[in-house]
Amino acid sequence: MYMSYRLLNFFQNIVAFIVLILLSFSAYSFSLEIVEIDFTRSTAPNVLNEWDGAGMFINSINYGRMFDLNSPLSSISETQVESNTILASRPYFYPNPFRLSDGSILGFRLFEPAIFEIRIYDMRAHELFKESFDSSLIGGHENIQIRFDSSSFHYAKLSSGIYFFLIIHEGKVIGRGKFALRPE
Amino acid sequence: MRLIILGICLLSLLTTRLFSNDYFLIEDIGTSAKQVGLGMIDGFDDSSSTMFSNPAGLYRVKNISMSVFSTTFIDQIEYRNITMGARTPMGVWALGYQEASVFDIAQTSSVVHSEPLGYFDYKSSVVKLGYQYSVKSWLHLGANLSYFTQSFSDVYGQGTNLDIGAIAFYHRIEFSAALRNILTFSDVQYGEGVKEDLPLRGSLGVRVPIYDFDLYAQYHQKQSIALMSAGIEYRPSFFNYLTVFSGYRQYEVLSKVSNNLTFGVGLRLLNVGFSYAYERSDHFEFDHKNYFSVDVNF
Repeated sequence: MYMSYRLLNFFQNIVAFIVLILLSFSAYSFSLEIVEIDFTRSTAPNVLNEWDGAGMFINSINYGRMFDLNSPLSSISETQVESNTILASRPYFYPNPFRLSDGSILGFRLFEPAIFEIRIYDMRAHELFKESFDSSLIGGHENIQIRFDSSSFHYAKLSSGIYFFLIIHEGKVIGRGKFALRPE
Repeated sequence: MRLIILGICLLSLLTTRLFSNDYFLIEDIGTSAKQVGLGMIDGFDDSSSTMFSNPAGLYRVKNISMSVFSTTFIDQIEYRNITMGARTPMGVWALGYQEASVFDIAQTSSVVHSEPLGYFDYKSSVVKLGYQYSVKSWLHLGANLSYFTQSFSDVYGQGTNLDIGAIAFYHRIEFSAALRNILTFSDVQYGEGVKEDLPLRGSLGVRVPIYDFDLYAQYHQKQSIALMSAGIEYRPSFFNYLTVFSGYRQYEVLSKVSNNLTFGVGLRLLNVGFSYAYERSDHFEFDHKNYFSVDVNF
């Protein structure tokens, strides 16, 4: 009878383990869905959620509601993305990827002179760089070229990997992209 | 005798060597929702996911444990991990895998305003093989063997290292001490002499149970920067399926220390646990971070 008990216990453990694996994979897929509909994702049709490679070219007017108003954890905030009234080309780093010691140039064009802000984030979504620029002081709005190298980050040793940038004008994101740092 | 061993754990942190912050450790973003929700407190997870922060924590694995963890930052960076642990007569063995992915990164030349040459993806991963052994009923030791890889465009790097950890009890107070990447001579190699250091990480934490509350505190050494964390967990005795936790964490950005509050909730039904954690982000657009994990421990 003791052997029967041990055998039963053994099979119970096998069944439980199989259920465990199935449950875990289900939960894994479920967790992906949860993340996909999390509070921070815009619920409106929004080209901001569609990354066209590393550069963004805003084609349409829409309001991006960044938070779920029904969420007790959210705050009300809206980011209005206007049509391409100012950004005339997709922003890229040239070259990409690159070594920080060699530097790279963020290049894009605007339709008109403007004061804009560049912010750069790392893979932990921590802000590494934030600075405002006047297009008229950096070569004109039709040929914006901003150089980034070690000095841009106070000579901090940044890890190799992917970094993300935003171009902000009058409180609105007009462009975004990402670049890769090679190991030094 | 117990105090001597606890002191050794502390001394191991004081002798921590300092290295440049080179290779990006994806475990730094968190390895379970509970860990994040408590303010990035290491070593006190109830499942096999604890192997990423302190392998000695695997002593909590009863027979078999499994966990999955997922989060996405700024709608671009996908973090996932999965761990499995099993108790054997010789101790607890565990296997863990964590990865970070970013897709569609434009490859460009040095000619400004030119069109991209193509697109590439980024992937960073770490595989850990963990082992835990209980020396005494109040002292547990553990170690991990880690294998790191990173690839994007024409860049590929790989490296290995070792983690060690200890957990000790003094009455009902639980201490956790861990050192990650202790092989300071080991780094991530990219070929042609290019390499990145695997940064040494040390942490010393404590858990104090008081009635339905567990209080946590942690000292974390990251290169030359000392970071503190604190957390509190509430598990009502009248409904012990539910836990609510909150934390305060310090983190380093470009050698400057910032801080954040974290919140979370956990639900445990039979042997299955669901956890969710939340913290604010610096990002201009996505200023919330959400974490989700599931674990089974039976």
